[in-house]
Amino acid sequence: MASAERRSSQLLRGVLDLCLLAIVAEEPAYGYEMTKRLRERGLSFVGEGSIYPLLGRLERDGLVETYRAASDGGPPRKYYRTSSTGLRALTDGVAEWRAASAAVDAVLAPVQTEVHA
Amino acid sequence: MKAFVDECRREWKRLHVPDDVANEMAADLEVDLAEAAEEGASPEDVLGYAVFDPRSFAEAWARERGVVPLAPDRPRVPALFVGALAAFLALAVAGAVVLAAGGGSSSTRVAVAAFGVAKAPPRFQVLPKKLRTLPGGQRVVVPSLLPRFRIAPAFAPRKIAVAGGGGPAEPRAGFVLLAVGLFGAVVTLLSWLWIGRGRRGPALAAP
Repeated sequence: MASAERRSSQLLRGVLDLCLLAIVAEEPAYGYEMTKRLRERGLSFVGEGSIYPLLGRLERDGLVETYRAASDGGPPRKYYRTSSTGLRALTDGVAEWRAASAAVDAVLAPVQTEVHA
Repeated sequence: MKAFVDECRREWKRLHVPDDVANEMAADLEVDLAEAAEEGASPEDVLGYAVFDPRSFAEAWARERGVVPLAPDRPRVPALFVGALAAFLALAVAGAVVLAAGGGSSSTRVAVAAFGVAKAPPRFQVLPKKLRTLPGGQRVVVPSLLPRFRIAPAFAPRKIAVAGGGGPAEPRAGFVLLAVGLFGAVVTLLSWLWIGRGRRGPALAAP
């Protein structure tokens, strides 16, 4: 079980930046809100680094833009939204992910068939 | 979770993160953790394993965001690049000096040319007599059928190259030194910039 969790964490690491870009491309969000949206879609663990350092990197690289706004009557929050550069990076990254995913599927599909047989 | 945020603040202080940036990160973290607590989520749900190591978390966040100034004792320029750059620039300067000397004043060139002619072999040269020493110590001239003089061919060079002078090899050597020095310096600079860019990491990478 621990091994499976570790593998899932490692797999997520490589694409977590894409997931965050995709989340804020749909709708701007603040840090914890992104964590919740990821969890709603099945990504319940964010690993040892959490999303904050990654958000910092995306901001530094100009892939996301930030602004402050109140959140449902609460204190002002820092919202993230995808920049035009981030949208291009997201498009390229999704294409890379699909290519890699298809290649891995091509290798693993026969194994799955044998398991289910 | 106040203790966690306070520990982050101390780490950012230690790393010389600007106060306004540190305050902003701390405030964002506090409201996120407070909202998670209201919803019944644990800090680990928000921060992952980082909840057990606030200092590493704070450092990673600040570094990834690019708000950690370089340490003053940390060399910004690798010594290797400085050495290579200095060596190539020295080569370029040497080449420029040689080129300048090669294209110097007319008086220098005349003096060099005169020196070159004086050292060149003459067109007509009388060969020394061949002598043989007899057993009694007497020395006699050995008769020879060959002529005892030599005429240099018409195409023989009248001047010789003089090191440091205006000979034909110097401008070429100067140009080569200058070209190699400038090319090496440019390549060194580009490599330095490229490696520096690589240290920042790719635009999209894992956390």
